[in-house]
Formats: sequence, C-alpha cells, structure tokens
Amino acid sequence: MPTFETFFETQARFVWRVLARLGIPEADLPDVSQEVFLAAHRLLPTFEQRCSVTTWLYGICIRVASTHRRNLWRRREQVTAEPGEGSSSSAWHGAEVAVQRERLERVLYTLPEEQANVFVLYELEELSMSEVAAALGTPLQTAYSRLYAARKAVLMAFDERKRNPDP
Amino acid sequence: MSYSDPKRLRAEDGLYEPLREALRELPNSDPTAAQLESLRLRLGARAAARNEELPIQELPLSSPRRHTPARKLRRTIAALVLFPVAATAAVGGFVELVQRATTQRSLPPTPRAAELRPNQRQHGVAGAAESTASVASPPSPIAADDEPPSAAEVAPASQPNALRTATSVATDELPEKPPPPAVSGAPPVAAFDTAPSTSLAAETALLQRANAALKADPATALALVAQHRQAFPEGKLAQEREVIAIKALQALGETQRARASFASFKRSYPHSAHVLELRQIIH
Repeated sequence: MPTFETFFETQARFVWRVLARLGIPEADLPDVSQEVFLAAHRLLPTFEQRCSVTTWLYGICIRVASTHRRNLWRRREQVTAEPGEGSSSSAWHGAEVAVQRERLERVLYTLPEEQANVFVLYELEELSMSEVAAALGTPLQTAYSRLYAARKAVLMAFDERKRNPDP
Repeated sequence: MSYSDPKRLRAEDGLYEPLREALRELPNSDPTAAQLESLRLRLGARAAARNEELPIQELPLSSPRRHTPARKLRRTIAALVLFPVAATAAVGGFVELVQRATTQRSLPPTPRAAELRPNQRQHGVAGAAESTASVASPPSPIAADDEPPSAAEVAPASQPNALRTATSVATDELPEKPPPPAVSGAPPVAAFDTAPSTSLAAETALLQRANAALKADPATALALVAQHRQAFPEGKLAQEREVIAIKALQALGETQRARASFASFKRSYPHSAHVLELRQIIH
C-alpha cells in the first residue's frame, strides 16, 4: 500500500513538470502546483473514472494553468518572467538545443491557448489523441484540428527561422 | 473509433533538425527536493487548517458533456457526502480516494502511453500506484542543499522586515521557553544544528509542530515559529513559517499585528497562494 509520501512525491513531480511544460514560469510553479492539488482534492468527488487519473490531472493542470495565466495577464506589471525568457530552461544545459527549445516556447506562447495545450500534451507529453481530447474535454475531432493548427504555426515559425537565422 | 494517431511531429521525415531537437530534448523540469518539501508542507498545513471552503475558483471538470441539472445535483450530493470525509482525513483521505480510484481503474491495464514511454512517464499515476517500493521512503531532503536556489528560498531574502514584528511579538509573549536572545551566536535549538542535509527535514518537522499546535495552542505555535525563525533565518520554508505566524497572531487576538504581518507578507510574496487564504482569516 503506497504511503502518502510515495503518492505525493510522484504526483507532485508529475504535476510540476506538466505545469512547466505548459509554460508556467518557474517562479510560479510552487503556487500553481499547490492550486492543482487543492483543486484536485476538491474535484475528486466528481471524478468519474471515464479516463485515467493521469488524464484527469492533466485536465486540472491545464485549467489551473489557464486561470493563472489570465490572472498574470491582469496584473501584468508584476510578471517577472515570461516563458521563453530562459526561466524554465535555466537548469538545462546544452546551449544550442536550449535556444531552439526557447524558440519553441515562444511560438507556443503566441498560439491560442487551446492549440498550445493540444500541442504540449500530444507532442511533448505524448498522450494519445483520445487522451488529449479527454483531458481537454473536447471532441476528438476538435483536438485534431487544434493539433494541426498548432503544428502549422510551429512549422511556419521555424521555417522563417531557417530562412532568416538570427545573427 | 476510426482514427489512428498521427506520427509525432518529431518523427516526421524532413523536419527542420533544430525543431526536432527542441521537441526531443525536453528540459528537465522536475522540482528540486526543496521545492517538493515546501509543497508537501504547504499542502499539509492547508489540509490541517481547513474546515472552511477553499478559496479557489470553480473549475469546470474536464468533461465533454454538458452539465445537466441532474448531474449537478448528483455532484453536489457527492460533494456534500464526501466533503466531511475528505476534510477529516485531509490530504491523507485524498490520497486514499485517488488510490482507490487508481486501483479500480487499473484492472484494465493503464493507458498504453505508459508503456510506450516508461522513462518519461515514470512520474505518472501508474507509477504512483505501482512503484511503491522505489519511492516509499520518508521525505528525503538529501539533495536539498545542492540545488540551485529555488523560488521558495529566493523570496525570503527579499523580505527581511516582513515579520520582524511577529518575531518580537513571539519573543515577548511566549508563556514558556522563550528562545534565547539572537545575540548569542549558538542556534537555539541544538537538534537543528546538524549537518546541512538534514536541515530541511528539521525545518519541516518544526513547522509541522507549529502548525499542529495552531488550533489548540496558538501561543506555542508562535513560539515554535520563533524558534524556526532563529534557527533558519534563511530557511527554505520561510513563507510557510510566516503563514503560521500570521494565523497564530490572529488566533491570539492580536489582530493589529496579524494585519501588519499580513501586509508585509503580501509585499514579500504577492503571488503566494496563501494570500487568498490569509485574507479570509484576517477579515
């Protein structure tokens, strides 16, 4: 029987990582992770086992992250770091790849949120498309069209980089 | 279901190589041991302190279907029935419920993605339920002091005065065991003056005691907080410490000081999730 420590440790890492990939600045990860756990606790009675707990948690992460981003937007003057300014890549070595990764983050940051979410869950977290749709609460077909829209934007952005590489 | 998932972008032929790299080489975004510890403590504190409703906005559940009134009603009932249980058992109850859900679910095998990328998914729920042995040890603060400064410990440095008020209050009012004056260089609590690797565990233990004392004996909670402040002035859990201090002051009827401490807390940690909670307590 897993202890609380076990459970928390694994879940917390998972939640933390997903939030980071969803573009939450590193400085905000403690607070946002906490909100995810509190929300999960609160929403648990409504968990219907139609999807895995992981998928369910993804959904909560996405909603909390989205609320957080909106709040940040509202009090923009207090934002210290936006995704793409190296915050989430700071602990990551491998300079060249880091630069590319940062570009990717920037592109995702400019996408409509729902497209960026599908992209992160499918391309980075490697959920299946049906899991993505379940986590986001959208029909499968919608998830697909968002994925393709996001891909198109990402490819275009990197295509421009290819033609006009930074000096 | 007639769809099959498309190839991942990173696996596409002819993809611009730098983009492929960016998609493949994900940065390590796992929390540090200190960050985990801090989160654990916060959640523990919240669970213990809570009987009031959480100050979190209503989050729609990820469900593709409309919320019919009947469904809403059912949820409300479920929530009413389950809330006392959950509140009593607090986080522990949460864990158990999720685990029950997980085990029930895992009768059919866990999602296939879990098998596809065991390395990336080891932190997922499947891992939580199954890899008991590997992580079942108590919180391990070992790596804590090797980590680069985390958000939790950067903040305290910027709030030197935040709760000086609370410190003096604490030392003035302690019914017993006032901490020795700050001038005497030796740390007041010998137990905490151990190897740096255990300091996080010690911090946690101390604050957990403080938090546990909060309801029955806020004065003791304040004393423990003062001990923490002296033993770990730059502690990783400074934010949590101040939360407990403010609650204790409020519980003691020191509303003015609680309010003042809360004001400096807000200045030091404007984004803290505790602000909402404290606001409810202070008003």
